[in-house]
Amino acid sequence: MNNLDVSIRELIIEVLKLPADIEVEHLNSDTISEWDSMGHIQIIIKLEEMFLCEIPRNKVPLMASDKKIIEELTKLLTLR
Amino acid sequence: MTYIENKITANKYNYLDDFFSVSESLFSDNIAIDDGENEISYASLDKEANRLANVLRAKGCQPNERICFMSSKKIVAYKSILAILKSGACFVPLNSEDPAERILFLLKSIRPKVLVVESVFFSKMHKLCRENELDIAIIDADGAEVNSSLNTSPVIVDRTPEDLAYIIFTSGSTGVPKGVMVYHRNIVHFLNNCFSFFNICEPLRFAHCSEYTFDPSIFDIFFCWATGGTVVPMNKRSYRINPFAFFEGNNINVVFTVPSLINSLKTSEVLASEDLSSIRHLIYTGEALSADLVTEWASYNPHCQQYNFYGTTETAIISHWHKIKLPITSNSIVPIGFPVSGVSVKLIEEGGEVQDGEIGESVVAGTQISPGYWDNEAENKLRFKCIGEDKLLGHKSYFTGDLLVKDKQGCFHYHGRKDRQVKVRGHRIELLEVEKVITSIPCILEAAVHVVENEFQIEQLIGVIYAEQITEDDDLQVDNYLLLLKEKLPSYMCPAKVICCKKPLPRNKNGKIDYHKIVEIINGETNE
Repeated sequence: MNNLDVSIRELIIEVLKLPADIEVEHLNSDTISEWDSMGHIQIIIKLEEMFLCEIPRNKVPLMASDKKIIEELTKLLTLR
Repeated sequence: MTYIENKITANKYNYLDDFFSVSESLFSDNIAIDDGENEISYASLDKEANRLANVLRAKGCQPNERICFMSSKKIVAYKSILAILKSGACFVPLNSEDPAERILFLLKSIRPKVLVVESVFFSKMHKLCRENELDIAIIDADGAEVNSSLNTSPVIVDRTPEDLAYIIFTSGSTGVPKGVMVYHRNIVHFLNNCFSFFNICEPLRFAHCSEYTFDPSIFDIFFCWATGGTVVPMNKRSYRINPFAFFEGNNINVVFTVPSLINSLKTSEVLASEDLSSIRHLIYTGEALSADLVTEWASYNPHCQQYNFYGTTETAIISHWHKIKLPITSNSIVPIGFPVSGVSVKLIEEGGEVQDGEIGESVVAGTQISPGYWDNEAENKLRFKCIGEDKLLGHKSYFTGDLLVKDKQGCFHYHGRKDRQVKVRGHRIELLEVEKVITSIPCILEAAVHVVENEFQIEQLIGVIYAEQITEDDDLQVDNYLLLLKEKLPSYMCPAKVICCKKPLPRNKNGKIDYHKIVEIINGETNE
């Protein structure tokens, strides 16, 4: 895992108040019950604060897993 | 007359499960359910449901016996509902995502003889019942006991349309959920009305958007089956965040949902997608519907008929409905429409009926009215009352608490609530229930809850509390409160944020919490 992967994972764990040692390789809303629609919005708000960016609203629903967040965020940060 | 009407009009529907059984005899090879992993035909589902129904009968299930079930939205869930009804009993859905405390409350209140579960929930529910000394037989709907049973013949049941079909729990202002009882007669009346209201000419694919614990599910499942269609459950958690993923490649024709789901598709900029063009009937319910959303949807999907429905679990899902005719006035809220045939609606203010154009509390009577709340005499006296000439006949009306206006054309418009009940993303919530649960946490002395729209235009609950022994680290304390609330309330009832007040909550001159000032506190905090 690179630095971005680790940061995103830690952010999701913090926002959703998951156990720090959660034994799941990839975090996504299908497998994490705490990742509901409200939890998702909290993750997006935290991402915007952390990376000082505004995530386009049409991309928000797509970011329902750590992999998808990294994918969309990488595109966004590259464009900046 | 349509193809479907030709096939069904010769039949008589008395019981909720008749809407499946009649279709099973007409369309046995049609697919009844497509859960994304597996499909099952009407004939196979009938056989499997009969097998489970016979096991339930052997356990003593009979009319008016409450049978709880817990399952994710897979074929096994639909089989369980059908089997419970076929056994003559009444089904009570439990949500596996609810906190254990709430599930326990429902089980203690309902006192079911049997709990039918999907295999994955068997151990959890067995443990919960054992630890709390609940004498409930737990049946794994896909377990050996059921699968080894050879009896797949239909169960013969002696029942009447005045027997219970289901009990669905809603939020209660006394601090605990209320179980709304629904007779077969109530729900059959509504579904029978649907045949003439919808012009369904061929078996269609119905999205099943709601959880089983919400009654729009009953329409999604049973009206779909009534017309020989396929139920397609929206059954991944990620669909709640990205609903468009559900529609991709699923060829959905009928959707019954809250406007916020369609708004979410709009935000995702996918309304023009080919995957949504298969939707022919789009039915909104549960939230104020903006005319602009309807117009925008129609601009991309002009062949789709849109509808606005309104109702409550106590009125067998829907009491008002209408087909939306375009064009409609922009910047307006779409009316909730006209009463369903056989449902009478009076608007009452201070004991008398109001004139057209005036606001009054909606009081509903007729065949669809629930017999009342399960084991809750206080709420029954408050909400189900005889009025006017009905006093002589003993017919009860349901006092909804919703404020409506009837215009000169007889069309009804929604104007909010008499009390503090709210709807958040389609979920009915008594704020008093949430406040009572918050103040049940030791050291929280007072609580006030309010609904606020966040920056993503999503409504969420915000709690303002006054607690003793606030530690130096308020944030940590608040996090602890939020975690505790998640153990007590379903997620949609949990405040997204809790604000700690250093002094008692503001009160008005009558000594009641001043909610105007609470809103000021929330605005001050959220604007920071």
